[in-house]
Amino acid sequence: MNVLALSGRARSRALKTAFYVVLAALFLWLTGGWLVDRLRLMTGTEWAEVLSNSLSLSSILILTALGLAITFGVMRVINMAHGDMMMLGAYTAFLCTDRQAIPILVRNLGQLLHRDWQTDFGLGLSLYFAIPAAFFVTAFVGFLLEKCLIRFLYKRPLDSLLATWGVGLIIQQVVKLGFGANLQPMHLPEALQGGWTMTNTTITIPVYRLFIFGVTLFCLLLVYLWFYRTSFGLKIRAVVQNRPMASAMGISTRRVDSLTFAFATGLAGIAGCILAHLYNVKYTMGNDYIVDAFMVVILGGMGQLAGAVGGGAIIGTGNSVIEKLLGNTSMAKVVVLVGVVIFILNRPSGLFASKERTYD
Amino acid sequence: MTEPAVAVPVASMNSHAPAAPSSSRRFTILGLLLLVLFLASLYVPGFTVKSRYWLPLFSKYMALALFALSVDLIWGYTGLLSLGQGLYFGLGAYAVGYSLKLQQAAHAAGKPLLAGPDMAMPDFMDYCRLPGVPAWIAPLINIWLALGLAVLLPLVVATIFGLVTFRLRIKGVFFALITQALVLAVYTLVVNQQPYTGGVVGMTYLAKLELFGHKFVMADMYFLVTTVLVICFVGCAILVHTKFGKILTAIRDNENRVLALGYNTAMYKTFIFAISGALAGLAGALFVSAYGTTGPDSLGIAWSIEVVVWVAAGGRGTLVGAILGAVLVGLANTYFNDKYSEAWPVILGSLFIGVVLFLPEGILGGLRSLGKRLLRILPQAAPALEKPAPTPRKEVNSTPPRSSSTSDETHPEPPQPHEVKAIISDLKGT
Amino acid sequence: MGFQSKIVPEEILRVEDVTVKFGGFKALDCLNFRMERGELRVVIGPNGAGKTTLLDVITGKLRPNDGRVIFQAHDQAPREINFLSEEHIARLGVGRKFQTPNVFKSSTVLDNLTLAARSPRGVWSTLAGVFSRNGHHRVHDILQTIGLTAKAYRLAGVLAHGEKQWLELGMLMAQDPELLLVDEPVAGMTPKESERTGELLLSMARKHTLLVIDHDMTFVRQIARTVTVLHEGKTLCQGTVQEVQRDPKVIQVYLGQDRQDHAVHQAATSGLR
Repeated sequence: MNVLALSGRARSRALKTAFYVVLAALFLWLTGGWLVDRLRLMTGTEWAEVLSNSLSLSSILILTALGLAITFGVMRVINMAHGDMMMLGAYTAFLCTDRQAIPILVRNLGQLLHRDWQTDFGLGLSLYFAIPAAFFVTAFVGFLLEKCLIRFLYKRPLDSLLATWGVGLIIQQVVKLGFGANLQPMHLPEALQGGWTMTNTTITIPVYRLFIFGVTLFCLLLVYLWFYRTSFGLKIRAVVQNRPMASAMGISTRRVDSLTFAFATGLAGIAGCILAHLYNVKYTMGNDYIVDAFMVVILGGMGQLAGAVGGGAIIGTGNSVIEKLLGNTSMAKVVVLVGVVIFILNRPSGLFASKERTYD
Repeated sequence: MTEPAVAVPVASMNSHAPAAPSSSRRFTILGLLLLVLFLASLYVPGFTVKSRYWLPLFSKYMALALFALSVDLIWGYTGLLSLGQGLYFGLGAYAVGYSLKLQQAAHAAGKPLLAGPDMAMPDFMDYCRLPGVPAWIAPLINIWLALGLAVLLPLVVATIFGLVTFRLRIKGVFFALITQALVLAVYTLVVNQQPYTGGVVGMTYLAKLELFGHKFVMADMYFLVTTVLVICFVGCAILVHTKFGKILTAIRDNENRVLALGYNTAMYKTFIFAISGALAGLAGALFVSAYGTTGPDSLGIAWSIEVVVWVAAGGRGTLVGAILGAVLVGLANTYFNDKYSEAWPVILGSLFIGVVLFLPEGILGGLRSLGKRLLRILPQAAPALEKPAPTPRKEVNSTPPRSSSTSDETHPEPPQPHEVKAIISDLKGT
Repeated sequence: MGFQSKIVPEEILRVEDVTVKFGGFKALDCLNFRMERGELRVVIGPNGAGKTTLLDVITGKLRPNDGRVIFQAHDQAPREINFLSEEHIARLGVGRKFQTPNVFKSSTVLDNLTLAARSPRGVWSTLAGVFSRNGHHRVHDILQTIGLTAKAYRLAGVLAHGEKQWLELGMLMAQDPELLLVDEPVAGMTPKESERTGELLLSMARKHTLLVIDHDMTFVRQIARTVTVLHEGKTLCQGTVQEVQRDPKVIQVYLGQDRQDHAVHQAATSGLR
């Protein structure tokens, strides 16, 4: 047979590469000069700010995205209320640490029922207590959510997306009714205030940012140990890889699902608690992070834990760097979002793709 | 399975098509009649409602119904869940918003409605000390240009986005989340560029829509929006009953199979996505004209997700359901915002959950099931059941209807000697 | 190896040194496979031998890591198709019937066939096709042949399993491709239905080239002329049904080593399942 050997595949690949090279060259030519100047002008303090920002942002994104990745990986469920779980964690921290919190709550509840309730009782616990409190409270809410709603929605990612968005709306409104629509500032314990200076340099990083980083590392360690070193973690992995088989072998998939979902939500709670002390607490704060968290999960590969970590680091750092360069938070967000979308369009499976043969 | 009829008389083998049972023809005419009635009833508020508060609201609902229609096209029929259609709606809204804003500024300053170096500036540009109306916004003072752009710009953006995304075979969750990211990016951009866009507040105090020298207010506005809605509805209805429309539902059911038949599904998806974008843009343009203000919320995530619930609540995959859902949710929204504004988000949230869990087929689907059950009681009406109605789907987002045991009934239909070809079959049934 | 040299005009399909890897696992290992125009070939092999993967590679669902696939349509020059898109390959004349019934469940039986029928596949053509007739008579003939005339206006989703398989065969007939790839057409059918399916396929084989995959040896014996046995991504043996069943390599693969002749004889006559 005579074959007309036009390897079209190689040709289209060459065209694609050429396109990107031209695009990159154009981009560099337009912005290169400005970029180099701007980079040269960056002082040590600014680099320190970038570093501390990226540490905290990455940590928060990683913690949130980890929960999402776990939920999607184990149950093929998209939880749009995840950001609001984070918000619940923040408000738990608020309740635990701020003496004014419970009075506000009581007063608002009273207003709702047209009664005049007042109280002076308030908890004034420290942040160190608030973190596990946030974890457990949020995990409990997640557990309830799973039992009441999520378990009907397994393997239905788009349905769960819509339903959990509805849950998110409800949670936001409930919190708004309970605590009001105001921003609540939070106070750091003294040990975590101030900065830490790296030796022999002028670079100072706020202690709290390092604390965040430490907490995140600790959580990552916990997750790793739990998933890969305990028998329950083995059960989780079995369910992820082959649910019917795991069930046939006597693993209670129901239990795995509820506990895993609760844990994933708890992680978001911790993220929220940390975030509360970084910025203010507001009932809509979940919305700011949910899309970013999803971008992290997609970037890293849906359901891949390592991907959530890698993606979180990349997006967190990218955001901080670009924010410094552009001087504008919103624009940085736009650039990063668009960048991630472009990357995903090129590589839909994300950074760490699962090597499965699937027919969708 | 019944033994295939090998020994069929030669006469009927070469003759005409197996006919749809004549009962379905009856059904079709009834369906058509109901449809015309429904469309006519949309005009009723224009005649009966006189309140200055309610009539503009109804116009708003009609515009949103068009938006819902556009989403039903891509989601109900083609199975593409996009959580970012607000982008196209917002583009249309802002295009016309700019126009009306510039017109209002010109009116207030007593200047002619022309683009020029010393045009009157809208207030938000003034506050932010822009030197002048930017060159790319100025021409929008011409309402025709703005309207054209309101339809064409979303069309172009949707086409480009569709071409890129569908060729890469991105679907399902990925697609939904990417559309969300995109709409968030644009929202952030718009809010950030306050001098150019009015920021978070958006544009208020807009002029009234004026075409051919006629100002559209109150009833006129309502009739305009409703007529556009009806025209688009008819267009969509015809579209989904062509072979093109059948390919769309086939893509929704089983894209791989469609590919294996040799159709370039990416092109089909891009096409319908582009049309949907254009319709959404048109809806946005009408919305701004009817409502009098616009803001970045129309571009927002919440809006884009909410429209999906309107379609789902009404009945996905039936164009009527989209209109129904949009109007009903809109009415509920207004009602609750008046009396119990704190309760609305909870109700809306419950609607999301309820539709997914309990009523995936929406109101129309529920009515259909109810109707089937009622008809079953009347023995004479049994032949009407032969015209297949889709069995209730278990999930809002799934494609193939589960075949229940009731649908395996075998009432053999003798082929009729004449050929019946219904171009528009029972719109409620298919 | 057992390739029979026939004097037949042209090759319609040639799979050359194709390798497909999933991670470390080789589904197809330097596979060579040829088909001639008008042939009816049955491919059998144990699970995991690479039968479905072979079909995926031919139809363009999978790109081979190595090697190429060449397809020669009637009166056309041979073309390398392993880098073409799925729909392009389908348009060139390759049709496939999937393992599980793959019909459009919310479309009517008639619509399923109409969509499959030969017609322009472009977007604009199908838009314009609202008032055209698109080969109606052919479709209704096919309806008769597969015995679904009575259910033409039913939704395909409510058909019984066997009926769905038949509808899919009907769709293939409507599509009228030169090369038909049929993956387990009688799975889940009664013996009577299988026989009828066999007849249908044989009638199609007159004017088309067929590649059939199946496990049911009764069915294979009914329709097969040449049988190719795949094992671990390679061609193990090729020949008539009798030749293949007696081949020691095949027996070893299906039944394992150290079998008595008695057992071999049993297996050969009662069907290798």
